[in-house]
Amino acid sequence: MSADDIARLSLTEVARLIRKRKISSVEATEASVGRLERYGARFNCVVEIDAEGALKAARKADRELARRQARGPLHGVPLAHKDMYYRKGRVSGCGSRIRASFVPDHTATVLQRLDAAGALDIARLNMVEFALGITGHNEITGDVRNPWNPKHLPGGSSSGSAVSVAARLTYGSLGSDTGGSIRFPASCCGIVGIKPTYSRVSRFGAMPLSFSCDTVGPLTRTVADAALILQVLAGRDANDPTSSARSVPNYSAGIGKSIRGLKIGVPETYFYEGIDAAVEKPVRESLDVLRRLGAKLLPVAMPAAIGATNTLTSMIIVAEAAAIHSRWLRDRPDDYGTQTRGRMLMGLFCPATRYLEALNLRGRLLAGFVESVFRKCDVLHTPVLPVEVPTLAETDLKANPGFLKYVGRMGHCTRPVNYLGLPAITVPCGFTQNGLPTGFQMVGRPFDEATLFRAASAYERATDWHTREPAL
Amino acid sequence: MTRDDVEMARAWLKREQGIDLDNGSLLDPWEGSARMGEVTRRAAEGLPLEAEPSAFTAALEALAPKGARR
Repeated sequence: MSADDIARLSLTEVARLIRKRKISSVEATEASVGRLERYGARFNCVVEIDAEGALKAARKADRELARRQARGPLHGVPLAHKDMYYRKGRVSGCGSRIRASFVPDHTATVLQRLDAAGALDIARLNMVEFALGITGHNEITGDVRNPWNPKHLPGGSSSGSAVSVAARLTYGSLGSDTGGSIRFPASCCGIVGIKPTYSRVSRFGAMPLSFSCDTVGPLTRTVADAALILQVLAGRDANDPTSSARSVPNYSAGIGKSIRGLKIGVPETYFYEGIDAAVEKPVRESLDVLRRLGAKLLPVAMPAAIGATNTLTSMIIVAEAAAIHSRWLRDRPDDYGTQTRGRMLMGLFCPATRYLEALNLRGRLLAGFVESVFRKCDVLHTPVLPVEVPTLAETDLKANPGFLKYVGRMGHCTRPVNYLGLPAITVPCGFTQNGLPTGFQMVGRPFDEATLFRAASAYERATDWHTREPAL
Repeated sequence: MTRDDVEMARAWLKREQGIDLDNGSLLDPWEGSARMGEVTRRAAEGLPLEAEPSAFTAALEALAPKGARR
């Protein structure tokens, strides 16, 4: 098997082959490092590759396997993550100038858990500045480019993660999702991304953007890969008091299982408002596939309050981000990109009363949503991105008037899910007329990621979109 | 929005947040914040807001399906 063939394996496959010693961790790591070095600059998706450290860790992993000492399900698998997960003694730049030299004194819980599962952490990946933005632009570290067409945006804020996974530079990557930052770039790049239920995964050691909305999850090439990583990440962490103590089910148990009789809700209102016909077509076609697999499609009226949730999410995010950044905004305002600074400033103008109203409404709106939607169906199926993936130039609005409104439209389908704290998975479902990928989103009940994996994997097995890769 | 309004926003930001920026940087964020505030105010109108925001995680736990319960 050539290095490129090894790099094209899914995470699940490469983990299995390493465990069975059909290929070595060194071979997988060399394949991944080689592609990160060869293509990283082209798409500006890589911040730093630790080739020496990666190969040293891979050799150690191989020696352990030779002694039949597998650490866990990801033993010897090289991964690379969004540059916002702290590792003690290593720079975590957060896509910014302000933290370009920041060296944390502790390691993120999610990295500790991946380490314990045997994964190797071989590179830091580019991202939107401080994870505050959905397009993928970054005035500080440079725009990341979509591997399907470098003129187009990759989506953000986990832009480097999505591009690296789609371009087969890494097998999987941690992203973060506060308003769509996993699901949006996953959809733009034709891969899988899951935003878990709020509190399902520890945020300790992850750069905070919004305490109330931040979630951590993986971007991968297949649904099984996403289930495998989330299995490692999920669960209570004493260092994150918001993390849930609920036991973690076996997320892989439903992979490959039938979805006959599964009730899939199709929103009658809100989610399809303003959607481009070029996006709606493949999204609706994915429903036909699910129906043929035995799922029952049920039209579901959205509660009227859903219309406000995009804005309510933004209110919470910018207010909390502005509080976290207030000292830097005061002392180093010129070290921010104009887009980031503009959004942070918006938070400084938010009255505390409005912010608290936005927070206080959450539980009530969640209860109403669960009652009106999940009383009728098991999962809700929606678009992710309401438009074809635009070019970087078309969306390079910086601080121009209208930028904030534009960004608001882009998050129309993703931000409400953050407000409600619900889990959601995105799956690629085709290409639009401009040749760029698109995907659909399935939203589940609180803590019911398992049903999302089952439904998404059924769709994936019936289609081949997840096997398509950009020509580099 | 008048020039006086923007000057007022600039003065408020300087006094309350200790940040001094040019008028051009302020207009879009200030208007954006006002739009968000209006939507939030309308959404919250008439609703009792006595529960603490921290009750949200408890609501998520309570609304999980039986199969996913602890």
